[in-house]
Amino acid sequence: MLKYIDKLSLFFLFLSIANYAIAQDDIDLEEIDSTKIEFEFIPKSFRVGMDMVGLVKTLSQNEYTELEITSDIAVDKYFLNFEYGILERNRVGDSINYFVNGTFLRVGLDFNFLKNDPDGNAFFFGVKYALGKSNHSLDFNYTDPIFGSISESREVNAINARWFEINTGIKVKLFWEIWLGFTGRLKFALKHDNTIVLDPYEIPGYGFSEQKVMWGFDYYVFYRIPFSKRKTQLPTEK
Amino acid sequence: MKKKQLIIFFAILFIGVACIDESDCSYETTREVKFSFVDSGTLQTDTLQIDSIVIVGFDSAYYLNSTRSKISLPINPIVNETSYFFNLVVGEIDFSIVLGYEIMPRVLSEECGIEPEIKQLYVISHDVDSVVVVNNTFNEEVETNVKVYR
Repeated sequence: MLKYIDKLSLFFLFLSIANYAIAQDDIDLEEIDSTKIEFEFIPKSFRVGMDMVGLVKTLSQNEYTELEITSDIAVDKYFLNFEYGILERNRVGDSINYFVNGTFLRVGLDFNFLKNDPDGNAFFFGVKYALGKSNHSLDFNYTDPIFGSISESREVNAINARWFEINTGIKVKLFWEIWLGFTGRLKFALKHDNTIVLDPYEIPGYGFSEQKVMWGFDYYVFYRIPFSKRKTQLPTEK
Repeated sequence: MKKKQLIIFFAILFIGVACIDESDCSYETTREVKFSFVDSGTLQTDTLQIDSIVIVGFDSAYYLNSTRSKISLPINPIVNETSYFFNLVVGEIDFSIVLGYEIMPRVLSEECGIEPEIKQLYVISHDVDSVVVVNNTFNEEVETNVKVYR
């Protein structure tokens, strides 16, 4: 099933972009001459949001907690991002009981390709650096066809991890200051502490530690605090 | 925002939640140690006429009664060492090798359980000229883990 997830994520990404295009029904971007607006190094808004995927899974699954808060500060065409999340999860099978809990933090910069959208809607592309710390424990039974069976418990704590992400997605105004957004993530270059006791199976915020590249997809609901009532300035007529 | 956007949003959300957690089973390592035999005088490949091999922890012996310059033998993933007793044909000197290692459980998935990975292989004891660990990786591609000089 895993092999389909990458394709599914890409599909979602295209759907997101298509979804954003629907939202642009009443905006004619061709009429906007972006060259007349210069870079403003003034924070325009602060937006804070929560990942709905993790929230739905937390509410619907037993022994699973995944909560992620995201925030951005809009400065001209850029978003300075801070994201913080927690994961606590128990994976129980016939022969294993694996528990992971940890936190992660992502920091990065997104570039908004929609420079002069009156509502501040965004179609963005960016990079992030992420780091996390997690604890792992495993109770397992293993039966070797030649040498017999073993039952054992292993535990490792404070495993540090870091990785990079390339992100793209959209942020669209729903109503008032409530926003929706999708973020597709390509996660790569994972490095984590190694131990001979137990190989971490899942890294909070990254996913399966053995995957050199991971796709991720988040759905956010945001609340935006504008620093100014003024909407994005549209150019004057030529 | 229009109604159809909300429908698309929630459709994607629930499909995404349903699909993200699946994982595959994949076994990456073997639990076999590959011995190669070398003549310590000439440093050329040594050929042994092996009658049988006894592995501690394994109830029955491997009865080979054949000539080998390489052999793959199971390594015990339950304990941290495995002893091998090589019984050669009459006229040749029997010998033994004890290997030590660490066992790291690698989680495959809830359904598949764990795979014990053999790590940090080393030689505990032997009664031949020399035994050298040349490769610590256990998979199908590796040709030799341990060279036995006799």
